[in-house]
Amino acid sequence: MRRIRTALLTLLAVTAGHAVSPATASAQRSIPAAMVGGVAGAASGGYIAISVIVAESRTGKYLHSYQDALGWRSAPVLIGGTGGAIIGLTDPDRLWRTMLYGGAGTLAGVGVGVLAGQLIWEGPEAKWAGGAIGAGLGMAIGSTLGVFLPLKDKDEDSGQAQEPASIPIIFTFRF
Amino acid sequence: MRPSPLLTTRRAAVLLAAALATACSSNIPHMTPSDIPDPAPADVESVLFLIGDAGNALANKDPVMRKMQADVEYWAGALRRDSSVVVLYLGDNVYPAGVHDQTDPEFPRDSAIMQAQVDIVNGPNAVRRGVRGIFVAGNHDWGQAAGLGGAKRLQNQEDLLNRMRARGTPVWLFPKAGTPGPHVFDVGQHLRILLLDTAWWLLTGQDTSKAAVYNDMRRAFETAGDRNVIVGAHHPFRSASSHGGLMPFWSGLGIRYLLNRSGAVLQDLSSIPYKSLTQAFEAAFAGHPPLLFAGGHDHNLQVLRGLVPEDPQWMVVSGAGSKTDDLGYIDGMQFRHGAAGYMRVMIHGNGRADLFVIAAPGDKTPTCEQSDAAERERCMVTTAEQFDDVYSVRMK
Repeated sequence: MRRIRTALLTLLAVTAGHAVSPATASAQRSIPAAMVGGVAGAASGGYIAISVIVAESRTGKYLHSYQDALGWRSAPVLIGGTGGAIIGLTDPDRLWRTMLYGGAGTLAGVGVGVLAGQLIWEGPEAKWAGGAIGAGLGMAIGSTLGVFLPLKDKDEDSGQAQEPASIPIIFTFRF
Repeated sequence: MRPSPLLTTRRAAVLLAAALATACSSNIPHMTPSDIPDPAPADVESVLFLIGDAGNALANKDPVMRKMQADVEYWAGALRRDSSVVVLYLGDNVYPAGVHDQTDPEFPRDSAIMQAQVDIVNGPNAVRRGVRGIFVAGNHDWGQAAGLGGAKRLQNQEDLLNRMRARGTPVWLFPKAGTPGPHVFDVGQHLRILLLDTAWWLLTGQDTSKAAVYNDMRRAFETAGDRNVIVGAHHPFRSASSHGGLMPFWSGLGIRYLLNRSGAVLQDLSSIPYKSLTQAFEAAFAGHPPLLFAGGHDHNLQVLRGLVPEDPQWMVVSGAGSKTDDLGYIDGMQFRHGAAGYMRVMIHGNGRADLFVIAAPGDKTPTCEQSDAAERERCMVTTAEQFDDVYSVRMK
């Protein structure tokens, strides 16, 4: 009886170990991703906040001092940081893609914004304002696409065992 | 005030250090310090003191107030003429948001800060010789706010000064609260002072009122004759510090830099309203550039020369009354210093004009925070004695 119980406990322990170990590995992968996501999200939110402030100033609504930027206008920093951490924790692949798309959007936005700013406004501040607004807009668009577009590998294969990516090649032998 | 041999040695050391610091920097050209001796009182017709952004200073802990009061006392006594010394407070007289209502818990602090500045013209010689203390409004005196809220804060400051004047101290807010100026008055035979509320211009100014300011300025310049014209306002005409965009990129994680470059901060020289202010002034100066445009706003001591005919001949930033900021370099810069201090303009009987910069030792705002009153007083006395003339130049 004791042997049977020992055998059962051993079997349970081994099974539990198998069950738990993939989750632990996943967690080990997710926690750094969450940290990276939090920082990157906060930085992205900061960029978007700057672009909102600059866009407001172009309509005649100015910051009176740098401290004013710490009010409701800094909300994107909190939202970005929290959102980035959650995505990093739950779906690191989506996070990397969001960062990639966000970065690409920022670069494209800066380029377009600098050109547009010089066309719309006058003075040396025009290109900076255009670039800042474009960067925030590009960042917002890129990040949004990164978050919400379906991830091909994940979404199509969900529920199935992960397999190495492969291209099916079929040979037909006629006898 | 005749410098002692020790102070002369220290002045030479400061000048040498400033010269070395500027010469060693790769992108800052060498700025030749000049060293004009204090004129004999008999040669001096009038003296104008310039201090700005003193809105954090308290009489019993900020030695800059003590030093300046001693300097005012000396010249008030030495000139032996009435109404020949003027102290001009260049705005941001009370941080962080001007003078609150008398019923507000912040009012006692606001009042103490104003009193510290008023005390500068409250010494025996100053009272006997009718030294005038004239306050100009800064953006913080408006509570950093446009509209009625800001106007009320400024009105509170004017009311406070009116009450102090009623008790015998000759202090005023000019231009009067809520009005842009220019407030024009003459001192002696060779000095005309124009005061402007540039915070009004940035916060609430309407175009029609701005046109009136422009016309009044033109008229004041045209009727000045041979007088040296000095324009006093809170916002400087040029600045090589943070409001002028001279800041390291990484200060404030690059955010300040981007916002400044984009012109998004109203109080920076890069904002559209500020640029319209300087452009309007340039137009008003055309043909009659003032000898000096004195501003504060940035928290340091800068002396600049005009570069184009529309510029004032000289420009100063004297905003180191209670704070200090980093400094950069811009074309036309003659001198810069990052310590607490103030400036003194000496108008001679023959119309000559000299500028002196007086600063604390080191590169910060010294304060005496000791809890023991006797120790604090000792600190005040010794630190005030260490202030020195760090730069002087003949403007005309």
